[in-house]
Amino acid sequence: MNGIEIVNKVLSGDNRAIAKLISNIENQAPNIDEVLMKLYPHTGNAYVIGVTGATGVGKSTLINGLINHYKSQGLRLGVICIDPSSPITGGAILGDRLRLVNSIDERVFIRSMTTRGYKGGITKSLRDVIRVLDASGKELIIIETIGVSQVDVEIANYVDTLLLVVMPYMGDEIQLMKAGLLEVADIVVINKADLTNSEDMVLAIKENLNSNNGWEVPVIKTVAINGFGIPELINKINEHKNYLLTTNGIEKKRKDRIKEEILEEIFNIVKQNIVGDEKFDEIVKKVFEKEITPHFAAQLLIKKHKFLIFNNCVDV
Amino acid sequence: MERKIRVLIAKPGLNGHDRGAKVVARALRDAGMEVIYLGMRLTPDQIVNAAIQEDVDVIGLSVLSGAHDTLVPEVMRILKEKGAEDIKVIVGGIIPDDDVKKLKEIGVVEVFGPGTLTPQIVKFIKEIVAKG
Amino acid sequence: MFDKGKLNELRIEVESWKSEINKKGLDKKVGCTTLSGIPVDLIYTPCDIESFDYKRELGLPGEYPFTRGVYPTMYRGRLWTLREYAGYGTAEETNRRFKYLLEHGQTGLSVAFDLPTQIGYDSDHPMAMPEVGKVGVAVSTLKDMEILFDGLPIGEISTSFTINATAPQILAMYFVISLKQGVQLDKVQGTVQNDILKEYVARNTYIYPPQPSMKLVVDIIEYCSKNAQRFNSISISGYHMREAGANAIQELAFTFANAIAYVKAAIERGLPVDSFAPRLSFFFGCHNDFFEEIAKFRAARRIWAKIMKERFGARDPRSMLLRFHTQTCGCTLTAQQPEVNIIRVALQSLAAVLGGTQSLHTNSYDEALALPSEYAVRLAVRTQQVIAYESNVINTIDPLAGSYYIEYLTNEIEKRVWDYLQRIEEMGGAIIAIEKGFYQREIAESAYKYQKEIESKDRIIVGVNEFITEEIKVKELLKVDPILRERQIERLKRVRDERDKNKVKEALENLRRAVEKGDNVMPYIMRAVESYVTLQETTEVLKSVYGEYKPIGW
Ligand SMILES: Nc1nc2c(ncn2[C@@H]2O[C@H](COP(=O)(O)OP(=O)(O)OP(=O)(O)O)[C@@H](O)[C@H]2O)c(=O)[nH]1
Ligand SMILES: [Mg+2]
Repeated sequence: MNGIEIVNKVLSGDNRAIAKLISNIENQAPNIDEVLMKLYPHTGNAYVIGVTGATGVGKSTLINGLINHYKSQGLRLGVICIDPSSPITGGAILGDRLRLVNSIDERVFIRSMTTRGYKGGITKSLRDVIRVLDASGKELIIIETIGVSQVDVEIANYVDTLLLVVMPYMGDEIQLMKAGLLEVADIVVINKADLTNSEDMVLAIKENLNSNNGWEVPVIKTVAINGFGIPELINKINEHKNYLLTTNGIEKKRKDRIKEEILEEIFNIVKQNIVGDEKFDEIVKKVFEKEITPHFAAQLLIKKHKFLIFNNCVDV
Repeated sequence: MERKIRVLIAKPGLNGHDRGAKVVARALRDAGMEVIYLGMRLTPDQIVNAAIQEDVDVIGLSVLSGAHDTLVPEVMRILKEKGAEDIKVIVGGIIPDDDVKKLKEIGVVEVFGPGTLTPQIVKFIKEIVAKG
Repeated sequence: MFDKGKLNELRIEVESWKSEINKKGLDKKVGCTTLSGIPVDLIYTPCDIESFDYKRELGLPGEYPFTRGVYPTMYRGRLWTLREYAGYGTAEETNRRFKYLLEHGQTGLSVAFDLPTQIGYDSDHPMAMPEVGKVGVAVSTLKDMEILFDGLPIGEISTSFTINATAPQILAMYFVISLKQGVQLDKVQGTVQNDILKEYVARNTYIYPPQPSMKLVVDIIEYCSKNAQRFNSISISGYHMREAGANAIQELAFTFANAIAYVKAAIERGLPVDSFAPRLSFFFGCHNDFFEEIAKFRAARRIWAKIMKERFGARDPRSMLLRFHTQTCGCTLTAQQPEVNIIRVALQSLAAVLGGTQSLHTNSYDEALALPSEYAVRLAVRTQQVIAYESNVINTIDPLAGSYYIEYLTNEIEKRVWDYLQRIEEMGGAIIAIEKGFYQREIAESAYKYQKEIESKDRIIVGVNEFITEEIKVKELLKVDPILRERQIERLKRVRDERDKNKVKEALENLRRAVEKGDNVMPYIMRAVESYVTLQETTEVLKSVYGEYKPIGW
């Protein structure tokens, strides 16, 4: 398929084309930038929900509940489930989809991804994958990621509403709070509320919450396996969405995100053009021997490669 | 970046013996592949739908109850119907010899019987994916 | 039992003997283990069982803790039951097979059901269609059960039913036809598997979530304890977990943890422990590690006796008896050089007999390829007969007792099983451990480890990773004729057309009310099946109240 064909098929919501394009993004296929550029004007319509939390707390089961609800409302859905890959072999077993299999049909597009060595519980390609689903007409996109430590907060930069899922008696709940995940969560879900009295946990979490730009972070109890608490959760998601819309929060969020992404891109472009420098080792040596500072070395390299960087950029 | 091999492992039908499927999933993972484990009690429709969305290179079907004679052809038919016959299908399980022939005739690339060692499967998948 | 001073002398002697051998590097198997990972030394001596106490650890056969056997005379009084699992296609076909087996010297029947029957689908459900009659017989209504036992004297045979999630329906059908044959329920003999917990772990033929499923299990235990006292109301099974990859220790530990959950649930129902415990039976596999398997069965008897006596306060010695059925492990059969399986099965069955089994199924050599042929089944039965009648191993009870190695292994297995039981207890018991996927993960890890050992040739499997010859094809393979499915579905439709619709409706209404109220479902299901309500119709009623189980997953 050529670029235009792919774009048209993705825009029409063709599952096969969407799937292939996502693979191309993951594999960094050659013509990918061109295709993404063509898709870009069609993005920005989807609302993105993140679901994060430690392994086994019930994220997938909860997402299953959300899917059933949103599907019954006739929404077109995209789901991305991210699991870590083995740092040694790069392999992974992706089992989230298994929990969703009974509630889906062709109208719900689900994709399992690994982090492919990228740190932070997400994958480097996530932004672009979200865009593909967005452009393909999905009105709502749900992303499942593992969230246990400080690095995992990054998911917050990719979504509009972030759910942090915990369960009673986790033992490491304190850890979680310290890890900063609580600070970025928009809604906290205590799942598996059937297992034990979770009131203590509600209190402990509430104590550690600070309101998020004026949004009062709610703490909700659910039992994902039987649907208890799901309607309330959906209400809260709606409230948060409305809050973002009415306070212009969504625009701010998204602009911040764009700014972040541009800066990242600049860094990447510069980096890509410099790592290949044949004198790089020599410069490192100089820094090592305290002849120059790293700061000075960076400036040196940028200056040296400015034309290369410039020439490698597309004409705008 | 290196292109990752993606494999879907699923058990169509009602049979619940998943030892083989799980062992194979682990072996493929340890060989560096991305394995989407779909579980059991699945219809051919659900399997093909997942395979397409996940854009896997290979579908591994584990069938032990003797129901391969209807379930596997159904998977092949739906793959074709959806224009996804480029996804390779391998089958594992207890399949009598004449049935193996029949399955290959309808496009199954390989059938792995009981006692197959996992390195054989890993090697086979790597080869067919490389061939494209 | 051993003299301390002499033990010390011996210990020094053995140690120096061993170190001499090690120095010369003569021992080529340093670090070898049993299949379950228990280290195996070059030699065993009294030093390895230094605190051996005959009365406490072994006792006499038929005496606490029953290590040597559950009956005083064991096989000299009565041989084990030769029982081959059978069933395929339609009820007519299976009925023919049963008659064949009985004619060839089998002393009990064992019914295999197809997957739709096990999971509560009638034969014409779309999910069922590809599976009808494939791994067992299809039973959708009482009509099928009537045909299945046509001409077989229910009062004289004992029949075992491998059925779990739909055990209430199948058992109800069997009881109804027993009564029709004029056999009162307290005369009916046999076993129903009725062990749902292991289904969430291994065979996966569950329907409802664990909690309501447990309720149904106890319904059957209760009903049998009051009406069918000679019927084994549950067969708590390690076999399937073993087949899924568990090692011998995990097999015992998970089986007993499940057993504890059932006993607790029955006691909570208000049943006195001695009223139902004598009817609990067990089912284990027998794998390749000859001595480990023998020790496993011995340890199992001792553990169960202790659990029942010490934990549940059973008084009736019959409550403490671990009576078990054994099947040679299907996972040890190879498709390569299948005749070699005959030898494997012979060794495994010998271990089961030396381990004191009450009943035995020997696998047929062609089972790694398809359902067994009649010829292969006959050979499998003959294997048991050679052991029973030619080998003379049955002439004395528990002949390996007192072997230093066997006693060491028995102790070691027991210890490791208690450790597991402790861990499961700390998690909150079997149900929670299963819901958390603990058993499943442990088993999957063991299965993968075993596979890796074969692939690295740390374990040799003849014909698979060593001694490979040209493939010999098995010619006589049994296939299920598709016409049988058509016939089964036709019959089902006819039954649905001809039955009394009002009776059906009423029976289902009554069942629903009973389920909602939490009454014992057995009498209601019996009335329903009597009116030719189908398996699926009753299952739907239960599902609508209990919900459906979603698998743990990866
Ligand atoms: N008792 C109880 N169990 C639950 C609940 N929600 C989920 N579970 C069970 O918890 C287990 C894990 O659920 P998942 O949905 O796979 O959890 P997850 O967070 O997606 O797990 P990973 O993707 O592995 O990180 C499953 O066995 C679920 O059935 C609940 O509310 N109560
Ligand atoms: Mg998950």
